[in-house]
Amino acid sequence: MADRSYSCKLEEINRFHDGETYPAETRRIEEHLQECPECRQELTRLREISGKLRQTVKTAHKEMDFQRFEQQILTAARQHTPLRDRLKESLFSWRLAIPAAAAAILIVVFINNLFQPSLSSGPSAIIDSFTGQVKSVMILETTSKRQTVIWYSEENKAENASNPTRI
Amino acid sequence: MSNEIENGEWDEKKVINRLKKKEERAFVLLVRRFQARLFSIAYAMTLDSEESRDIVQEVFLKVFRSMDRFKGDARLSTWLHRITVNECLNWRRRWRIRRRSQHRPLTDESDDPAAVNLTDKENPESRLRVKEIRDRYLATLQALPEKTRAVFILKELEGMSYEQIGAALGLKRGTVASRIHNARRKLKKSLQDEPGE
Repeated sequence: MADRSYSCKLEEINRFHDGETYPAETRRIEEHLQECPECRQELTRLREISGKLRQTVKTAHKEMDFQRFEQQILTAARQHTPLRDRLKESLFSWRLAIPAAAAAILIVVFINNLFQPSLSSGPSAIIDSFTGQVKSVMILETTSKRQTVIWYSEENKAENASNPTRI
Repeated sequence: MSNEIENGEWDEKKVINRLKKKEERAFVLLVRRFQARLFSIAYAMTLDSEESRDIVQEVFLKVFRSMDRFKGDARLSTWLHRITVNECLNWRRRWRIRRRSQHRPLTDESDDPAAVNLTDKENPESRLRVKEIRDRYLATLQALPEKTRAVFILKELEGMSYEQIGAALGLKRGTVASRIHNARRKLKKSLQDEPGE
């Protein structure tokens, strides 16, 4: 026997139309539809709404050459070569970036040390200085630390002739 | 190499694995399987064939480029639907900007492939009435809020369940149900609001 006390709920008819009702609901609505022309009409309208959309899309499909469209998509995709993508991805991968940066820094430091001439260490301190005429001068450099040694003989000080001052 | 892939049979897991390796054969299968469906969705969202083609092509290129990011926690179709809807929504935003500078009629029958095909047996009055109904329907469809429209289209064209639609668009089941109901309420009004009724 149809449930005449069932009030027409359009939202339920919607869900029924979409197959989203629970089994008990489905049975109840099916029984109600047998007795309610308004709800049957509502269901017809819902089917009409669905049909209009599908017809609209179907007409558009007729104008489409899907084979050609497929080729167009493939051509566009081929422009992104896998090797280039992988290479690009690997270069910018953060997992490689840090060790790569560290390696680059080490290489730069190594090359810099390899080709940089050794800095000559100047004298650590001035031992002595003078103002006067110099008789003879010898400029020497130590082999190990490359320190500059200047030997000179002061003319006015005769007692220093054999006692050169080391700077 | 799998014979199934070579023979064109669809095995989603295998296709996904091969897509991640950027294998062309797998990509061809993907395009063949989904291009018509995605075009339908894009067309229903935009009502523009050319834009729909551009959108669908962009969807496939995005999938091709970012396949390695697909985690496989959802179906491939769910992911494709989500990307397609997002591309359509982006298109609509760009279209609104373009529309400000150039008026583009929504239902210009000369270049609209969704034009009603009427036989010569239809009298002019019937043709006009049918066209008016169709134009009202399409105008109402286009005027729906974006996500409501997307929900409605996925339900009507893809036959997805409320839960599947919710998963694709990040919505609750109840929200999907109410949006579909609202969309149909408005579209029903566009069909009922006819002279003489």
